[in-house]
Amino acid sequence: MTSVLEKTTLGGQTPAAPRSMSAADRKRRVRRRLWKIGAWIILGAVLLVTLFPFYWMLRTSFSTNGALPGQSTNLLPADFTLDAYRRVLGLSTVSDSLQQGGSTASINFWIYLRNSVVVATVTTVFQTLFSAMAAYAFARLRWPFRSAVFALFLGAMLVPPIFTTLPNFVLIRDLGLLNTYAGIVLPGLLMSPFAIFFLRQFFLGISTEVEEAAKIDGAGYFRIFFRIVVPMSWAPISTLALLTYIGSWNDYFWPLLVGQNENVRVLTVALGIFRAQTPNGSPDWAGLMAATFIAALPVMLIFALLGRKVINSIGFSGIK
Amino acid sequence: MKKQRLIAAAMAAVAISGALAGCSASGTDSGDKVNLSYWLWDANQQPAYKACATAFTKANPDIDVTVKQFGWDDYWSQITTGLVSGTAPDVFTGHSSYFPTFVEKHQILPIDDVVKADDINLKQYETGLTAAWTSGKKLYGLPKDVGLAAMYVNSDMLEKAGLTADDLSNLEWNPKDGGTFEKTIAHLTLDAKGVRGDEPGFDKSNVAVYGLGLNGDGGGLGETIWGQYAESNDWTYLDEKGGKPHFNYDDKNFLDAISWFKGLSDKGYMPTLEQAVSGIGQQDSYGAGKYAMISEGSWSASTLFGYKDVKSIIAPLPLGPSGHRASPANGLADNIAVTTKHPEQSKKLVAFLGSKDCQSLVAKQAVVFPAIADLSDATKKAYEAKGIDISPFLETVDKGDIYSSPSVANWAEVNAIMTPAMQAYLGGSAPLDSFVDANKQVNALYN
Repeated sequence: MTSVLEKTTLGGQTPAAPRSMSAADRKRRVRRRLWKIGAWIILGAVLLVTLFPFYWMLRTSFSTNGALPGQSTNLLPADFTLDAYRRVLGLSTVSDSLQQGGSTASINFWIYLRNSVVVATVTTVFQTLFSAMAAYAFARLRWPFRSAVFALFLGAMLVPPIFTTLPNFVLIRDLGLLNTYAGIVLPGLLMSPFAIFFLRQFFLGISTEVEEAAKIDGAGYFRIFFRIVVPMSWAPISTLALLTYIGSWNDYFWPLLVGQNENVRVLTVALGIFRAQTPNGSPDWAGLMAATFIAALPVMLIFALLGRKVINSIGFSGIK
Repeated sequence: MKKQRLIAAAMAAVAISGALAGCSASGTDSGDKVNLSYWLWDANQQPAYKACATAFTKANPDIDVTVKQFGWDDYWSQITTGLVSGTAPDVFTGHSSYFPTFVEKHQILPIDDVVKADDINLKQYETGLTAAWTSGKKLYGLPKDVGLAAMYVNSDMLEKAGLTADDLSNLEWNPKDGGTFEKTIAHLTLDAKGVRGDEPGFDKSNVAVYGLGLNGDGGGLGETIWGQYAESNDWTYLDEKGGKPHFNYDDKNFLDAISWFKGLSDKGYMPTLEQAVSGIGQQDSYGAGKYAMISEGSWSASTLFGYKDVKSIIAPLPLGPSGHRASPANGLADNIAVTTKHPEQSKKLVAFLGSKDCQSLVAKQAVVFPAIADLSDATKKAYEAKGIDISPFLETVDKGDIYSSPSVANWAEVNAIMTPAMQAYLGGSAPLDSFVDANKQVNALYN
């Protein structure tokens, strides 16, 4: 606005009043620019603080274990090496690993990756599907004790997971499903209270006119659900699927208890070998950082691909 | 609607059975072959034990052994969960801190029958190790290795201080003035301006390099922390009085030793407890050049010599007022879980793992010291090949200057009482005579 004012002054002649105005305007402009610079500096600082740990993780993963304590202030990798990644991917021999001060346990990386993918995918597909159907039942269908049952489901959200771990473990063992994919996915396979709650909120926001029109045309509940409600709610459903996938990929404790055999061990459990091996020892830091990075990579990729959907659906108010 | 409900039910059934069908079948024993599972936590020892497992299967073709490794943090929760659920391994590496509880709750099997049957010579192991694995006159495991303590010294700092390795070979300490040991520690301590601990103008509030490192409070055991000083001051953890253990944490010799030890922190030669437990551990601090000397176990030799920026030498522990050194000598042994389905084969495996055939393979790896006394030469050579001279450790054993950690029931409760007491004293918030009260509480556990 200041520039427009200045531009409209005729012939470069600036009367007395506009001159003092332009000085004040100039001050305002400078102050605004200072504010902008200050905002960028603060933004940059926050970004740095947030991203620095990830950089440090990368930096440590490219370092040699023995050189780490002595070069704690070095921003670059200490004695750059790709050995940590070789150890993680199972390409390093035992004697090499011992020499590098790293963990010597053998890792069948690709099998563990496959197991993680299977577990996460099965959990996500089933949990999303059945939770969506349950959420629809809670949102749109009328049946006796509906609100009581919903309150019960919500109450389940308040139970800390550790309370259900041991009873679940005993049940899975009694069913003879230890060390199987079924044993790992079953407890959370059909629903999660958060998923039902999350989707119910979105389904409540869908206008009833469309459903009533479909009902008049003779559609049953399943057709209404799969042909009308689900396509309209792709954003929240894919958000939920993304969150479920990430949560199930990162799950450590339950697969640790139930999935010990090589053929069902998931990646997070397998990479636990890089933690401390002995009571007083330190972990294989470089290997641990490399392992963390590789384990997080698929999730980061998925987030990068589908992240926009997540942002969009968060802003989704439910009103169409 | 009814039809739809039927379809829905059918879908659900198909879905669940699909998930179940997708599961992989658990392995079954084929024919007469027995498959034993063996667990350990130290990945560095895994290659040696895998070699032992192969050798065992060669000698016993009808028994297969699967070696599995879990990190220390996960190991014990896996074992205890496994014992409850019946999925525990057949044989696993045991630790002396868990041994009394397992015996009390009848979770491990005694091996006296196989010792008799195979005529195993229990004297081939270093002194005191089999006693640690005996309870109620029954032996529950064969000692596998022995862990000893010594001083690891940064040789560059030693040179700069004008000292040699010989100067460290006969240091003495005493509770009054610390003796030559404290003088050496003081001389190795440097403050931020480069003034040594025994020179005038030493600023103890601004120390750059500590002469002696600290690894925490040590609880009731103080292994490699203060145990070696207390035990070399004519003191033992406990005595047997009327068939019951009687702890001695109120004894004058113990109190003198601990108060001298804390005095090192007060004088600025050793970090305070607060400094020691905040941030990284003693080993990494040593690797970063913040400690000139640390007392650590033989099991850490590979790690400590693996630091790129620190050259180390090993020196023996100081002699105490008793005229002797006192190194802890604790060892691991393999235990058999009570849930095993093959007790006879498991006992065979334990006997083999404790034998010279297996332990000589372990010695070659130079990761731990085997418990069999005859193998100390082979171990020494293996470590020399790595550039580590372990003679200071072996001399302690040869002279018999060793002690075992207490092996009593309810040790966890004893530790639970002594840990806060030790933390409070070393942290400076409790006086020395608080140990008298703590000792009363400890002994009350056994009355």
